[in-house]
Amino acid sequence: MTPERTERTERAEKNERSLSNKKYLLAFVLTIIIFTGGIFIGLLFEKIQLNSSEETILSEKVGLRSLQLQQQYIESGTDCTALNKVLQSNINDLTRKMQEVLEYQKKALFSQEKFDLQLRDYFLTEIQFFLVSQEINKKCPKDNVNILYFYDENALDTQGDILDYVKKVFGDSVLIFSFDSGFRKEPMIEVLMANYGITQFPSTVIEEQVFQGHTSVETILKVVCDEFEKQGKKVPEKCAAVKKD
Amino acid sequence: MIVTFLDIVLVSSYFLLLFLSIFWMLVLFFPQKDASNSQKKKTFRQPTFAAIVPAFNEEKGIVLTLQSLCDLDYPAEKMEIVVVNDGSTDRTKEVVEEFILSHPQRKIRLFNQENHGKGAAMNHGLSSLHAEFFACLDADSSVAPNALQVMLPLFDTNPKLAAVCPLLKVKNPQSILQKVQWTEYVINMFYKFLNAKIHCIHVTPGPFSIYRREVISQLGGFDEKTITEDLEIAIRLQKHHYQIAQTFAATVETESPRTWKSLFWQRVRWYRGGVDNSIAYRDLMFNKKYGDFGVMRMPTIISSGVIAIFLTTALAQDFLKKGMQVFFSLKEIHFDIFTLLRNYQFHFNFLSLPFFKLTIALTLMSLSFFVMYSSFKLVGEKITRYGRTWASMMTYLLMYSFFISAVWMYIAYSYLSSKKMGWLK
Repeated sequence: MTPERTERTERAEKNERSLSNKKYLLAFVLTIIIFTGGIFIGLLFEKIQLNSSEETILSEKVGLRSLQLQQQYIESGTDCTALNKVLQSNINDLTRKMQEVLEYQKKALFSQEKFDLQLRDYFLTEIQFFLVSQEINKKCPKDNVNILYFYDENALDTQGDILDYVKKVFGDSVLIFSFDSGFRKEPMIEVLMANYGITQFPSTVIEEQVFQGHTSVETILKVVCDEFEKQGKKVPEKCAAVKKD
Repeated sequence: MIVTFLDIVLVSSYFLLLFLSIFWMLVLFFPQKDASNSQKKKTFRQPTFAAIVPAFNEEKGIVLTLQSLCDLDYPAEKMEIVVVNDGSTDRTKEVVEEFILSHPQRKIRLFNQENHGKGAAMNHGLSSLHAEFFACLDADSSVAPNALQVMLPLFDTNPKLAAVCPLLKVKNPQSILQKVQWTEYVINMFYKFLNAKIHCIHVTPGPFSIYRREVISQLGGFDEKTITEDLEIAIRLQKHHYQIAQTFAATVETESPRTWKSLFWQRVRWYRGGVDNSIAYRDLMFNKKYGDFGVMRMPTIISSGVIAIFLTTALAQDFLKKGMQVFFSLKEIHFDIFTLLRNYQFHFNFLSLPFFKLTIALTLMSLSFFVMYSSFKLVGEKITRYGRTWASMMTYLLMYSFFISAVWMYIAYSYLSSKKMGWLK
């Protein structure tokens, strides 16, 4: 071992390694700042989501009031076909918007309670629409099949997808009113469930027929087609295939 | 708010990645004062130098490698070349012998040994050397003529310096895959530049890293058991508080794998070696005695793998769950996809985007683009140098992470399976 090497080795061994403490601290602080910034942006957009869904529910309520008034004046010459079209459009719109609010509510960081309140409002509006549709059906020739769908938080349940499919098959001729049974904050949903004697989920009510538990697409299509026949309406093409099966 | 496993993994990964990215930016913009680098340059004294070329079945490429060594701008009398034929079964031995005969003015020696691996070949060559400095040059690489003129003087200005790494590039990339690797090497060089700033280099690449022979001999030479001897020796040097420098003035070009399969196995070897050595040198991890190398570099050798494994698992779980849902939904409607497609309505709600995650992801992406830009600037390359580089860039950005995740998943599997074997024993 040469003296030069020994000296170098010792120097290296004794070397005190530097630690970038200030940089770690600053990096940590900046990371926290960016995360906080992200949270603030998330919060800002949550508020925008709240405002947007508030505006939507207001517009749905206006649509509902207009429909209520129109159905009161059916005898005075209000056009039933036009009324049914408005009803279908309102329900479709409401369902779509309600899905959006449900999505907002699931992702909400801070405004969970406000979204819950809005969802109660949406569910109540939906129930009101359902009641109005029943009133319209009393006075006008029936133009659609009403389906009530009660679901819970079971992510594996495919009943919702089956109903989506049914809606795609029959379009506006089928009106689907869906209610989250887990949303106990709104007692009216429970009232509705009690009214139909629903004790398990998912449950589907097609006009007055109650199907508790999972119901196959064949059963639903058949019942809906039977309803179309009862209404004396032009039966959709799909029903012919259903009958054949 | 519903928090899933994927959410937890994503947010934790974002935090860690953001922290690391910001840290490296701070290293870039606020360099550390280093007494060892502020010494005045002495006159270059041209010390003795030796190049070890470990070769296993390299009959095709070895002549170019040896020629690039002979072309080095360095006095022939101060330099020797040692070829260690590691049990080649092709004509490597004959090709080298012919080369020696045709270059009588150069000091070139050939050692033949049974196949014992690269580490053993390096040690065989090392044991025969007397030169002050040496380098290893894989037989699939070639070195720029100025390499010794710019790399060796660095040792004179810093007595603590035990190794110097050159600028490593992919040799003449042709396919998209090779261009992806070319981009990757360029970006890796940027990170090596940052690592060098805080003495955190954890690998002295096989192609032409120059070592102080005395130091390596004193530390016992190269580890013959590890699958990544270049990483192991670098960590060992760091353990003994030696320094490793990175230069961008000398370029070494190396062949890159031509197929995804060969790239996969190359990366499995590299990363597996990284994990093995992280475990072997775990006493350095989070150890303040080793400065930034212990606290920052050692844990991050495997952290990218841990992140990749967790992210892949979480994503796969999420994908599988959603895939199963879609499958069962379609099964319920007897796969009547036509009706679904015919009535499909595109609906995009901007407000339903995950803005918190997007903010962090966009910050990370901006930093990544900055790193990419800085990398090309640092190594003096143009993104479009080899044409169609944008395609490789997009492949790098979009697909490469999945590929690397697959490598890490395989490594995790190999660890788990070998553990089982150990128990059976």
